[in-house]
Amino acid sequence: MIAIRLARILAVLSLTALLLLPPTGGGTPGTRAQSVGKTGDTATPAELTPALSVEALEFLPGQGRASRSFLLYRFGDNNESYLDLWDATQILKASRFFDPITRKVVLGVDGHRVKLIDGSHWAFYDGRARHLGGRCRIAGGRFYLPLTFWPVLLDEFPELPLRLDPNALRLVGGLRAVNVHSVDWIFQGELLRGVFQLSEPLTPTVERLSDSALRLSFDDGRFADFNWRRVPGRAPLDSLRLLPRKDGVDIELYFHRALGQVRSAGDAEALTWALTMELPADPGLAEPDFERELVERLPGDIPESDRVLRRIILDPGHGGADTGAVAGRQMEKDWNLRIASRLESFLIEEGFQVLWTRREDRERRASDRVQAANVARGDLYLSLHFTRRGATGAPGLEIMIQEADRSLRGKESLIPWESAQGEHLESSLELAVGLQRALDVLTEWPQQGIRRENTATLEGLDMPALLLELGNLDSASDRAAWDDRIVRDKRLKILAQALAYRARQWGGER
Amino acid sequence: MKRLLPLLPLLLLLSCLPVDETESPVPAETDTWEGYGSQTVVLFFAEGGLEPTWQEELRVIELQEDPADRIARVLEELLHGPERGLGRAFPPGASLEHIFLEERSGVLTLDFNPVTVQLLIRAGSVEERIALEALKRVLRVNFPAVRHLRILVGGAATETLGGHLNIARALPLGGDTE
Repeated sequence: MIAIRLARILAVLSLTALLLLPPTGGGTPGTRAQSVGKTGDTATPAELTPALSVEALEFLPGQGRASRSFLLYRFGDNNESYLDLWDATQILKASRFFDPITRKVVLGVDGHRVKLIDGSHWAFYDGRARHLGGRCRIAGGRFYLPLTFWPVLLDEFPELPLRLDPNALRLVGGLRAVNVHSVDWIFQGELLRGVFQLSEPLTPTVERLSDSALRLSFDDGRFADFNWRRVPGRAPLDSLRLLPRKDGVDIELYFHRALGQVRSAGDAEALTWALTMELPADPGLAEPDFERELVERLPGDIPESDRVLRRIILDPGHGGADTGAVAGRQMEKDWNLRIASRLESFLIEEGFQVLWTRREDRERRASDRVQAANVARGDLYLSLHFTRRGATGAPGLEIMIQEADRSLRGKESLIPWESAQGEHLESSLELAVGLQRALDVLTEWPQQGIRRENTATLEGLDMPALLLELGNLDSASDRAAWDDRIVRDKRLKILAQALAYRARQWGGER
Repeated sequence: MKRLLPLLPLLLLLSCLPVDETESPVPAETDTWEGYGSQTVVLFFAEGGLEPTWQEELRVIELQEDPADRIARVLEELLHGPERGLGRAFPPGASLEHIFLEERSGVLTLDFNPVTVQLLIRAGSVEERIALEALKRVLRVNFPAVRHLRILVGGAATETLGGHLNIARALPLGGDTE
């Protein structure tokens, strides 16, 4: 027992000494990185390479504006950028303690305690856990922090005399740097125009990441992400223009200046908060999915539509590797697509315009589908699903509408996109009730009621939206009913007619 | 008062009758992190599909001092499934990779193995709903100090656990279990 304790103490002392000593691999960070590569008690040499250097930290006034360069490291198995703990503590002027048994590091930063753990995504700031966005790692006897550590640290301790300036980020080595050199906010009647001037000779391509995020990418691999908040009644990209200049490009973003939503005093500040340039978080997530053209109309050109039902977005749930429910050889994704195809023809017969979130067997995230539907300005979103309720479980249709999420309240004067469906809950419920009544009276389709759920499928949709659980894949009788052409067509035809009836009530010309 | 005296023996008799413990859950006494050692915990399992009936199952298990370890131990029991003939809360093979607890704010983060998502997707939306509801019920009753539940999969935030229900934000755990 004593021997084990002694061994543990020795291990603590030796590793603590290793961490407290300055790097031994030469004076420059580059040689230090190589020495890391040559050792390798916890990582093979090929796993860690110094990928680029960065100049991203600035000290606030009082200590002058001094930036500091240091190396970032990358491991072979992911795209995260890492900082050496030694560099981090130098910049932070932090004390540190490393426990090799638990593989934890404790930093003392300006009177605060930050705990980091090898292999964990989490940092504990004075006991509070915060997700880092990347894992801490030990390699070659050294501890590495993901670069995403910095924004979290500064967010947690805003009083620290240190800040990360993303605009100053220069990733050397053919990587990313985008220079936004000015932002102007201009009021034009009901519109507020933000102009970003990029001093770049290259014209960027624009990728839409979500309803509130945009990525500008340059041919040389650099990119910048823009994020903003939704303004009521407007899809953000309805109001985006790119204006090439000789030495760069201006990006114009128009916002609707709705009364009460934007105050006259401090507008620029509020919207600068809303529209900020952020560190590229995960390039792998960027799925260029601009199925619709990038609309370049001004918001004023778009007619207000109130309770109109003309354009229906059909969303066959799941797809690709996401099979949905599987009962024997029956896959939900196939059923959803098959029924959607048939429903489309009845909807078109009733005079609806029909658009799809997927027409083939491919995987698509819920938020991507929602985004495409919002851009297409649908009047109703119908997400089609089947489920499993057991062989003797209830057959038939269950309709889901979105549950109002009280946590989604707008911060300051702007409203988060995710709350968009909240404005349509009444219409969604009205449609659900109407559909279920019609189907109950006019078909033999068993009705399992209407349920409110907080679904990812319907969140953020700026239109009435229903998720239809069309049947129970486990139930032989339910499957047989859907395989019977006459039964199936009757159900879908009545469904389309019930929607057409509601559309007439709402006064939409189709 | 004197009129009530004849009722006293009857009341005493009633108080001595055996109580069916399976019908009354034993929630944690306070919303603090106290309570470890040998503890009775309440697990919830569902019977029926679309509108399930929730049944409680009491288990006595040994809990560690660390609250996160205690939660891990209880959830391990939930994932393992019922001892009597009730429906499982999670499909076999579902597992947790990490648990993180912010004790002060009561935010619990559960990091599930990605296999769990595959299993729940294939099981359908009803199973997904049951799994989430069982988690919430077990946490509410056994760990009232947990106020919000955040769910990750493979260390990363995700939209859903089974293709439908939204877990992108922390789920509030306030309210009744019924």
